[in-house]
Amino acid sequence: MPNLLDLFQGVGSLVDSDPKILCARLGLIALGVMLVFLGKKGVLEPLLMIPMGLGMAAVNAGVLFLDPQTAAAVSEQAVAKGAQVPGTLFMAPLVQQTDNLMYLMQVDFLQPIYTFAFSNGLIACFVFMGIGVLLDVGYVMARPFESMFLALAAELGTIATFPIAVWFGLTTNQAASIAMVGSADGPMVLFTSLTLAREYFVPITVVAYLYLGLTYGGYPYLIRALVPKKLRMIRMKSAPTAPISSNAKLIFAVVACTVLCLLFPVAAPLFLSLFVGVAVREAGLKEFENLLSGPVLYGATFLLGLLLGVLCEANTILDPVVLKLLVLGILALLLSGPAV
Amino acid sequence: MNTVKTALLVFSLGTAISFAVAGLIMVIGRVIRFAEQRTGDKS
Repeated sequence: MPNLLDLFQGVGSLVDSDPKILCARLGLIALGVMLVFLGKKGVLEPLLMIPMGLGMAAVNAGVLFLDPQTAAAVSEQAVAKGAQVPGTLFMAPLVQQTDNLMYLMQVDFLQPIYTFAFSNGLIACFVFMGIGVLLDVGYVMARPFESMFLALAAELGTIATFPIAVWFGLTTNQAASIAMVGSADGPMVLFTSLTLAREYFVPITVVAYLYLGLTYGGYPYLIRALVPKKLRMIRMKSAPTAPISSNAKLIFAVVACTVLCLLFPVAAPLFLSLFVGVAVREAGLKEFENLLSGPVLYGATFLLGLLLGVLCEANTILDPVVLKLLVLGILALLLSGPAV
Repeated sequence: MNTVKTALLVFSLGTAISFAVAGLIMVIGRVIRFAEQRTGDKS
């Protein structure tokens, strides 16, 4: 009689795995289901959390024993004959060699999207284009110093977390990458970790988006805990600002994009993506505006959520560094939030 | 200690650059407004 566990390999690989992996897989499946539930309830950001939660549950449930060729491509080394290597048919984020990558793109269904759009930051740029279309630069133009002061306060968590992360034993590049979580800007964290600490960009990005999703639900409670009711009751008057024409905003977008690219070429793709969105909005290109604020923004957000969920595979997440990243990430956000 | 100094240096530099950019934004805004007013006067 054939072994039933060979037939239902998700269960078979669970039974066959070491207890640590088994607990992590079951825990991540439960966490994934919980993220979907909390997303539906509106406690967490649903646009990101529902695809992410489902991806997380599916990738940890759908582990099978890979055939020898795929196993060799995923592990990037020769596999002993008859060895049972567990893996998934979603994607293999850690593969580096071109031959293995080309082979896996024909096997893993999300590998092409991961390789061509996620690991080079294209998805982050798509999100920035969408944000650019929704962004009114009028306030920054009318009150540049107040805007910069707020932006600097938001980075306090980043600055304070950096030396703490080095003290935790991370290299300066890794420390800078995880400290960026304090800026509460997902695409920026993705971009920074890709540039500075490629070896940890998967766990750093996952930690960042997980916390940003939690922040959405948790900040009102944090503010209530930190700011007394008397202060929260003060009605803030917004000082009137002179109206700024769309021509002025368009010229500003072009000049600001060019100057910032000149000053910081390393972030030029993000500057271009953001300001092209602003330019489209201010030039009144309705067709492009609809394209960027609809299919591009929501398509990128959906794929981002799905890929982040699939990246939360037990083997990737069980790296001991992830625990440090979890502590440092929440610290950076907690320090930045009240400062703003 | 060195990393604390690095962090403070980066923050100071960031502050300086941010306010310089804010100043630049203010100047660009005024130039654009001036140009718009002149165009409006001529027409």
